[in-house]
Amino acid sequence: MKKLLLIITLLLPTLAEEYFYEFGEKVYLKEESTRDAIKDTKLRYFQTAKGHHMATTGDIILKLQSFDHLNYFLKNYPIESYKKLDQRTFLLTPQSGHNLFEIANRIHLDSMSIYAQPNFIRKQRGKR
Amino acid sequence: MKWLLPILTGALLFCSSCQKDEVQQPQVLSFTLNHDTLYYRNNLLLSTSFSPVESLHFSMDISQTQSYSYLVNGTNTRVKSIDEEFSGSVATASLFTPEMYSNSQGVVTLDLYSLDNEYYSSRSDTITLLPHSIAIEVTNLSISPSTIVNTEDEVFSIDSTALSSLTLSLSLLSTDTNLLTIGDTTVHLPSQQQNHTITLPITTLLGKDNHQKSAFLPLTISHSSGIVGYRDTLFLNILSHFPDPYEPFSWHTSYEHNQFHQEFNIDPHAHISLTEAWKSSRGEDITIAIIDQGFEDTHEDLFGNIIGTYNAEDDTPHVNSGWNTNHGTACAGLSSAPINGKGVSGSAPDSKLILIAAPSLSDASIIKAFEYARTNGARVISCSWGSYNVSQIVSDKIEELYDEGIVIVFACGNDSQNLDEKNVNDESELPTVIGVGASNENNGLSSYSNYGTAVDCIAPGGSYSMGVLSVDLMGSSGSNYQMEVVDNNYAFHSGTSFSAPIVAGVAALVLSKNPALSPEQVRTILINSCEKIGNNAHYNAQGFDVMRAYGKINAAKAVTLAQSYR
Repeated sequence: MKKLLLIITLLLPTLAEEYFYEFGEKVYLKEESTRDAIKDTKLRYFQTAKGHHMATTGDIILKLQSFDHLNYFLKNYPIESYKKLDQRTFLLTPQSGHNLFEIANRIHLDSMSIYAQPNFIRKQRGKR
Repeated sequence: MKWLLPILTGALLFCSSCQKDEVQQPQVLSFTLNHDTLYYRNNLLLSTSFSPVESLHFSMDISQTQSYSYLVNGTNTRVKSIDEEFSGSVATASLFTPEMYSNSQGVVTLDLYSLDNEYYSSRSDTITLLPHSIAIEVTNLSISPSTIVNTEDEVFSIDSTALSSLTLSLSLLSTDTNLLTIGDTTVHLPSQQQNHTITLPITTLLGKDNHQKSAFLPLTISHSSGIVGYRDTLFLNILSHFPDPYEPFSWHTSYEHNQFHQEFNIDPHAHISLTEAWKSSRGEDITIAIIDQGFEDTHEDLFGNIIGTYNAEDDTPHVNSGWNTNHGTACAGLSSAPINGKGVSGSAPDSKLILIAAPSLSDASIIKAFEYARTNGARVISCSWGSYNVSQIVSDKIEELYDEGIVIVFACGNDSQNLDEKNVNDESELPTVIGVGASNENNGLSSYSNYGTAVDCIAPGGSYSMGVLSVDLMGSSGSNYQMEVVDNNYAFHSGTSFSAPIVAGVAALVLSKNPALSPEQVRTILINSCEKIGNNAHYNAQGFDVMRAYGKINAAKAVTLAQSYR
């Protein structure tokens, strides 16, 4: 019984559902086990309810009304560093130990942001 | 002591020229050019002519304040010495003519050009009054089939004449300071006719290796008696088309009645009339950005058109990671490989390229890639990838660029799927994007091509057995699909990935012809010029077939439509 509990405890994080906001809706994700072929310590792999595969890079994309609002987020959220993507879009790296989705969702719901979501690598459809 | 040798040699040459001038006692004619609006960043080309003597020309750096002394042999053996001084914004030039020619009649013209072909300043003086004033209006120049001269700017219009014939010569003052005579003829003028259209056959074409696209053309008009009547300079856009060596295998460009096309049963109508379109547009002044995972930016048939490279993930110019670079390289070739006597030609061979690598294609790197394209002047962006799952951030970014007038083209994928039924949200389906499917060498829909109501058009992408010809990684790496007709630097590629850059190039042709067009207008032009192909197609009243969209793109029709589109 103890062994079973231990296995369940170990599996729980893998089976846990995360979500993020996109196009005004919550998109739920199921985490997938890391594929050997594309192992990367930073990447976490997920599948959406529609079957799309995507991986998080550990960063958050934030779109702002104005560049002036950036400091507000740097002060009020556990952000370690940021990079500018364009005039109003930034790539935030959260401090270690914080849940990426939780921070992204909190920032997304903050009235000072236009939106925020984890930075994803989305599985590309086949090239020829 | 070696350093003394050039000085001594120069001194000797200088003395010999002095002696020659002293003997000939030159007549001095001086001109002052005021050119307040000159930009000094470019070297200038000073062209001095004394008609009917052939033009003399030499280049100088206007930013230098110093004197020059030249001895130049004219092609008709007269020897002239030109001395000029530049100081500040005023240029002074003196033309010395040998005494034996001091009674010649003619017009002396001094022209200043920048080496980027922008005309700045000119001054002409008549040395002796002409016995006749000559009337001529050049409204059309007929040309050999391989050279197209664009004479949209009417330049010559002179009063009537009593002359019955004129000798015309057209010469090209090239940016490398070589004067090339490209045509001459004698024309008979009907009397009492004020405006006359003259057809000037160009007898001596630009060399095959000279792919100069535009130039100032000094046009000399002289009477058969040797009297110089008029000289002026017109700007002509020369579109010489000397096919690149592998064009006979580029079935998407035009149909060639050759062994290759016959052996592989290429449908004579499978092409998109690119050769015809190039007669009036080659994508000049339009920059296309290709976003892909990597590129071989040193490829022999690409680098001539590349004006920038950027890696969106490490913020460096390095786009050749060595991984998966053949795909992007081939895409770049299909839009913008130059006509340069090598390999193949892109659909917009005079367009400029920005190659942007986003190796991971993460949402963040895609944003940076689009932003780099935007801030670096791209008018067209071609993307041969997609996720079926476009992010809000990328969708918004594309819309932002669309609103700024940038045309964005996406391949629609190779899974033989109806995107509507698949219930996906692909980049190619965005309303701000031109979605592109593939047609094949049989002039039908490629079996692998995705389709759906959000796809706009199809363009050659080939079939499993016959791809479209483009550049490939140099050497033995890359594709092995040479079909025994091209070398290892080129290959046949199939997929909607290769249809998209062809369409991006055609969009550049359209924008080059009419730069004021909005992305929506470009899209309208492209779909309105499509050919309705397919034996079992069901085009509706709006001209749309769910599998073939609005049909196969036609470059020549699109460029024609663009000319008159308001």
